[in-house]
Amino acid sequence: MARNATVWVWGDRFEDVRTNCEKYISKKWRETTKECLVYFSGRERDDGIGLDIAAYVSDKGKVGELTESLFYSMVFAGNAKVYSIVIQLFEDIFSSKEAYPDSLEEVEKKLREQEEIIAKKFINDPKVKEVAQGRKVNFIQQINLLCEMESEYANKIVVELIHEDFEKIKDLLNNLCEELIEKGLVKRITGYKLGRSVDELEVGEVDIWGDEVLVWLV
Amino acid sequence: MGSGSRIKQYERRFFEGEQKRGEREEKAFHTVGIFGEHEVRESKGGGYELLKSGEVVGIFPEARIEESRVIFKLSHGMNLEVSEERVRETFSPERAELCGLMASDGCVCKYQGKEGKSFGYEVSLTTVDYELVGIFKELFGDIYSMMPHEHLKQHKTKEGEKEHYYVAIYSKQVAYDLWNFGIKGPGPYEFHPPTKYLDDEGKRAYLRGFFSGDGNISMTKGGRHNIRIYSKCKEGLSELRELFIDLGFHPGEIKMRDRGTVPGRYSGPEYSFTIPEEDHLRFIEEIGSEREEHKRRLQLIKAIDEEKKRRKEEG
Repeated sequence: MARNATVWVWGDRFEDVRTNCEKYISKKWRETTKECLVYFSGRERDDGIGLDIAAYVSDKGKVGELTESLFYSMVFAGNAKVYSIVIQLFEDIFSSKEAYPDSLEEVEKKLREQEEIIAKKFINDPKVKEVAQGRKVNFIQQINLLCEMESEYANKIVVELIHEDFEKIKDLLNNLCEELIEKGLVKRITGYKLGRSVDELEVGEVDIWGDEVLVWLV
Repeated sequence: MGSGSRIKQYERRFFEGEQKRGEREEKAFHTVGIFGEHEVRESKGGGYELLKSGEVVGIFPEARIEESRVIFKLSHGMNLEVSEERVRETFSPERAELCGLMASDGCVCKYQGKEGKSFGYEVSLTTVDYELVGIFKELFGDIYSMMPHEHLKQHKTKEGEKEHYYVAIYSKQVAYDLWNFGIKGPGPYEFHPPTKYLDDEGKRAYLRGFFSGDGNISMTKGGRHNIRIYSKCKEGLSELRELFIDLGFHPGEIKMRDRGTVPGRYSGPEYSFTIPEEDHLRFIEEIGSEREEHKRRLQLIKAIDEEKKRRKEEG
């Protein structure tokens, strides 16, 4: 059975990240524990890009150091406000269940395809029709980009970025990735995927912006 | 101690020269405003009296008299507002801004001492923006006459050394003062704007403080820009949005970002709303931010919007 705990939240001291994490691991890690997930949840502060990092680790001696290093990378290279750090312990290799098979080019291609599907799917939505009234309609889709990384410290590290502007997502990912490689936390990027399909999107807010109508899909 | 007669000292300090009251009233006081059943009189030597039905109900060293109200300065950043409609305590703009900053990036907590017997209280702000450290210290100095402790920590990054700052006051009195108004906590992201203690100036200051921590200005393709405010606390964000509405802004609806999709995720939802383009210039002029990066972006928006306006007028 998986066990979890929030080991750090915004407001706690930055110096406590490693201590809290190591305390939890030394107390709760059992012989049957095969892997632990350290989950960082945060937000990039200038563009509001959602930034989460999941590190799956099987060597309990490396959890504290890795958590601290990832935290500071998120704060500085990711320019993020970190909301919380949660640790979950598994009795199997949980990370092996998920695959990240795409290249960045394939992800971009899928996004372009999604744009066409979205335009067809939502143009007749009653909420959109009511506001559009002959204006140009722009659909703004929340993009969840997941990026899998190979690491000597972890079975894998997955970074998730959430925003509507793919260029901004790529810029932030590049910056963060360079930092993680420089620090030796990550060897290379192994794959990507989109976290949400068009089926999971629905019309959120509809804004009139000059001569355009902006439809936020969330 | 002091000089002059005992009665004169009383008069200067406390206006309590009772035997000379009638004479004093004529010579030293004049009415500066009447607000419903309250009258405000100013002394020539400085200081103000608040009278209700001819009886003195308060004496204050400072007052600001406006057309429809008078504001008396109390302690710890509190003011007393007297108008025709009501008498109420309000937050000074400084106190309101500090509370906004605390609600976004600050922390008010109680912790157990090392031996486990006693408790400590901490009111702190953690940030990577040094300008917010300066603001926090300045506001604390103004309100509580206390100087927070400042801690600097350096970290190596690929772009060289970077710092984060931690500023804190260790005071039970200050912690309870903020808790009593529901400013922050008990949950880590929970906050409530002290709406009933905020006049319009206070609302603007509170929003500036909050925006400096949890606001952003995002530029997108096609010359669009978003001014957005985030929080993990939907209830607090909804109350904060009401402040914008009270001030005549037209904030968008609160949107939920259901966050991550990583298996085993723990990010939980996050909420935000935007300030529409029609309100951007007003936002820049009336609210703004203390963060340097925000200021830079707001200036850019201002220049773009003014140019758009000019072109529209010409064409």
